[in-house]
Amino acid sequence: MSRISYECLKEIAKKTKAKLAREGFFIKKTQRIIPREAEKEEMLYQMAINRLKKYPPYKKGKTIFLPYFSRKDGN
Amino acid sequence: MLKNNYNIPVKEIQEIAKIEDPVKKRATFVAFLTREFKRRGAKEPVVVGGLALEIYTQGSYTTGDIDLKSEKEILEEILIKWGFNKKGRVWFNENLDIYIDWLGSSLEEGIEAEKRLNTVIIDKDLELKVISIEDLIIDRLKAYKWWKDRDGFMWARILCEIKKSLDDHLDKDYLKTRAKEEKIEDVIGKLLKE
Repeated sequence: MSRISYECLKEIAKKTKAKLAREGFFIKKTQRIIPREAEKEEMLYQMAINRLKKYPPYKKGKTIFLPYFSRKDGN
Repeated sequence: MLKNNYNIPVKEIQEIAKIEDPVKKRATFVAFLTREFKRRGAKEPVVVGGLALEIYTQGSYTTGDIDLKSEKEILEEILIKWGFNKKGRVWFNENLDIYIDWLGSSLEEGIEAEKRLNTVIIDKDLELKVISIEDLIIDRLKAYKWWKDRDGFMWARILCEIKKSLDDHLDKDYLKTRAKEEKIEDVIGKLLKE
């Protein structure tokens, strides 16, 4: 079994994406045409709600503050 | 293909290259871009589409690129200076691993949507303009109904929860008006019942 580091994979992905872009191919946004299983969809929904609870946004006037982006646990 | 010989000359842009979290990287990049537009006295760019959803959900939804509305000439001037290349309507910078899909200079949703834009603060002195949550709900529901994007309805539900979390009322009248224009009254009806 071969071993490959995450950093190495990241670099390969970045270079591949750039090579394709130079040739005019951009990775298209995917849309989910096949419905998810209900359990999977519920899990994704719950993950988003949990993040909302963990980083509760707040609003002052027309300005929204999003604490996730200024968190100090890593970047 | 438009090419340039610039390296990345701006300290802020070099900072972006160090950010590991791709969600934070994209948002920070747009905040720097917004600052540069303001410095030049230009109308700030507006985040729409997938990145708007990524920002409001604070990364629960992820996208690959930056969907942006902005004045074309100023955007081009800045991006060339910042070491970007262009192919079609997409601008990209290999080192930063950032891809910008320029979607025009104004919102097709109209003047009312322009008035409803939110300023989003992501950190000290870092802000950006994002399409309103109501307009983004309509965008996702359109994808759900017309492009058969099965996740669209779920993201619309999550956006409703974000509105609640902000202690901000969901403008149902506006949603219904927009839904009528987009012929998605049935889907908005289903969402508002929940």
